[in-house]
Amino acid sequence: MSRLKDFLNIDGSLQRQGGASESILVTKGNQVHLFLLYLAGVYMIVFALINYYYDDKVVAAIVNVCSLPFVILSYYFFKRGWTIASKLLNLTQIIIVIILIFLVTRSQYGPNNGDSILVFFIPVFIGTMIVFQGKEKKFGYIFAFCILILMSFLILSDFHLGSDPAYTQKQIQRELALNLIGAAIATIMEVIFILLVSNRIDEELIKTNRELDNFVYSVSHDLRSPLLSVKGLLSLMLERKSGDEALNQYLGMAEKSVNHLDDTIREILAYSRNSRLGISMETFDLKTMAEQIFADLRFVVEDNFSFRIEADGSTEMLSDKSRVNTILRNMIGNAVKYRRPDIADPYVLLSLGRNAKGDVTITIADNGEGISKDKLEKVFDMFYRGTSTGQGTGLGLYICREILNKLDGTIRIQSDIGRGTTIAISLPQRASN
Amino acid sequence: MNNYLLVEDDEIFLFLHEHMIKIFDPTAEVSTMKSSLVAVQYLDDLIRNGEKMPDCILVDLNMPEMNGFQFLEFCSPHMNGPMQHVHVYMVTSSLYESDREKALSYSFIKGFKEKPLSKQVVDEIAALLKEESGSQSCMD
Repeated sequence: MSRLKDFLNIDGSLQRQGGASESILVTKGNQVHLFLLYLAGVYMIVFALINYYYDDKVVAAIVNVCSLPFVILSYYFFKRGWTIASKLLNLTQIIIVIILIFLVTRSQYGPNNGDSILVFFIPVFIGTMIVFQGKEKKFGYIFAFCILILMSFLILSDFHLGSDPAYTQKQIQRELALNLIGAAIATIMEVIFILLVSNRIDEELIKTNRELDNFVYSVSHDLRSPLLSVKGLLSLMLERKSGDEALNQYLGMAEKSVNHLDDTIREILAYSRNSRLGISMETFDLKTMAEQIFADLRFVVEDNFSFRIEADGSTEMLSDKSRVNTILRNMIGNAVKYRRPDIADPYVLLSLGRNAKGDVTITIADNGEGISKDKLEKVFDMFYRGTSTGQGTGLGLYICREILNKLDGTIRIQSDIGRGTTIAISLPQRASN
Repeated sequence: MNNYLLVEDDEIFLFLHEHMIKIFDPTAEVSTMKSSLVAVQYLDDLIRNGEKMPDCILVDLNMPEMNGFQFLEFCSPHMNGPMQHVHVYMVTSSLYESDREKALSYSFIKGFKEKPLSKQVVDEIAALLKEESGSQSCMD
């Protein structure tokens, strides 16, 4: 019963699912932010030490003064749960440090000296897109856009304060190497992170799909079991042949309703499986498949109804067996459902062959009720029912078309009311023979 | 006279199938078991004591504790020995082609039937039993 409850609460479970897939990204975004905070702390100390060692005392001081308090404050914000403020503070701090270093080196050593520090904008840009997730995403976009603008502005600008002697060649090379290596490491780590997360999300999706399939399996079993026992009990009652005509009529009607409900469950199951599961190719024999379906339907029809197969050459094919089975079962089932028992030789004729392109062709022809021209174009619509006899669910042909779309197949339907219907299907063959 | 063993956890189906068989195969004797574990124990005892096996076993697929496939796994090694004349069918409400294929992959299984049993299916099962007992008595 609890499974049923879950099943009925479709909206709820979808929301939960949506929330879950979003929360992976949000959690990851927060993790990255925290990691960046630690990294900023450590990197700034190391960077300051290196510069101090090489006598760049001003740069070292800027880095230390501007970084550590910001890093600590940002960490405090994060712990308080103010994630957006914490992230903005952290990123702002990194950018301010970059700009300050940039301006100081220009002012100390003249324009175009130490410009290589700007490469750090690249990992900061990517990092911004990573850390802002979920509802914070728009902040991420705005901030990343600002970074791009700022970077272009700094590259193009000629702003500097003093005009002291320029860097020596060695100093420039050292700066360039340090900056490039630092920025490259950060960028590579971010790219690896993005790949790992997308991989993880794929795995989660596959897992969710598998769980959903198990769930649909259990639900369809739990829903059908009681229904089928009612169906059996009804047929037991009908078998006892009471003389009460009215009672027999009621039982017959109840049986019809039960069958209808069962058809609906079957088709919802087929639809759900088709839309979720991937295609699995295997080689199988179409003729054997059709004969099995004929055998299952034999007891549904009168003795004079005939099931016929015509095959041209080999009937083996490579495709998704379960899906092709659903199509055949639907098509042959329709021919049976809309047969005309009043005519002399009611039949369904299945012709199997190949067309010029090598695609498998399946033609299902019957001499049943047929479909009028105006209804013909609607038969593939979801829940469209051409007759009011209450036999169909309006899902069968819709599912067939969905499956054929998935398998790159085609379907054509031709019908004359009162004379019968012919359906031509073609299915591409991939690497068969 | 055919001897049936029904293994099924759902009481209504057990009742229903028992009646279906008795109506359409009037001379049949039907025993029912609500759990495949009990059924396995029962068959095991029969094998050990060398007693007569049922002629036909109809087993459900989805059952708690031990499902239909696990039951078939139990039968498998005995199908060339003491159970060689037993007709085993799987009767289920499963719509999954993969279940049908898995069941039919057991060489000894006679069929995969949808619930509920109908007159036609009972007739078919009874006819096959009759055919085989005929050929057996010819051999004897």
